[in-house]
Amino acid sequence: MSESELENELRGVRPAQPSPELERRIARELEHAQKPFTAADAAARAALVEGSRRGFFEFLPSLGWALTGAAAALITIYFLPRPKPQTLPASPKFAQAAVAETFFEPAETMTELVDAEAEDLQWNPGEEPARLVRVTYLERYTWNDANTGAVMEFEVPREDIYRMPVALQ
Amino acid sequence: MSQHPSDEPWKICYAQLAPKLLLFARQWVASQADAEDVVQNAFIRFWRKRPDAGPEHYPLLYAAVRSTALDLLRADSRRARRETDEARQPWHDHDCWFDASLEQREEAEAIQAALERLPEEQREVLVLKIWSDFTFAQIADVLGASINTVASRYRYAIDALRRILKPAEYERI
Repeated sequence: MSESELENELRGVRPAQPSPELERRIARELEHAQKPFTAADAAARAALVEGSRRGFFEFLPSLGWALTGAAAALITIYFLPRPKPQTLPASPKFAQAAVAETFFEPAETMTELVDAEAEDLQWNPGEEPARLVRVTYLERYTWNDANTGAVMEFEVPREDIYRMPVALQ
Repeated sequence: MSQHPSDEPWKICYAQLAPKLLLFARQWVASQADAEDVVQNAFIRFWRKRPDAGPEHYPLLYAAVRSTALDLLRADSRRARRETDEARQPWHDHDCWFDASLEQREEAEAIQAALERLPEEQREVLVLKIWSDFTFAQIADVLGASINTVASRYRYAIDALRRILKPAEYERI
């Protein structure tokens, strides 16, 4: 059987249909996200903005008195005698608590071999023939924060290139 | 001009691709239900980011399905290790991956069994090539691999399938 005959035979079976519920679930999520901005929503928003604007202009005289009071308080505080600065005692618990708020520790490292490709032989003058082998890895790191339960995962691709002399192959 | 609901881009995409996306997801997850969850999450995420996506963006949708499936697989693995669940469901249940008439049922099951024997990286290339009709370039975009790598994996996959499905013919070659 040729390759194309096998491909045609494989294509002769069709992938199974998903359940009708899948499309309904997707439609619900996407249509909720795309919900149009109706006239009722516009009216509600306009009323809110108008109320804010009216409130702002009515608020101005009060704001003026408040700022005057704040300025007077600041001036008074400036001329009050200031206490001497104190050095707080070192608190290991405080330092530990602050550090412990977000502290990720490595939990897992996985290295996955993605691909390995051997190139043609290379003939460099003065050296024995060798073949370059490119090996691609994907390193996955998982870090956990024991205090908050947060998990951080990241992936780093890596490619190593090995030069393998013919004698070793 | 008012748009008929079925003209919405995501509905057109869903009508064209849903079974193919499901087959693609099915390779990594334990059940049809999990595969539908994967397709749902990836599909929604994709269309929220690209509400006007066209066919040229479909490889990204497949990449999203793959990424979501692998995340679920890793989460299941971690949960199983933590819970030491001895009654954990085996890797695959026996939902058929294909719609098959009574006459085709046996062939469909044989193809599914053969696919399950392939290494993952060969199987995903084969599934994308045969049932999603992707070019090697599109498959390379989905998998983040080179075209040469994709092509060689496909060759190995076809050769392996021929060996499994047609052993007598394979020996004659």
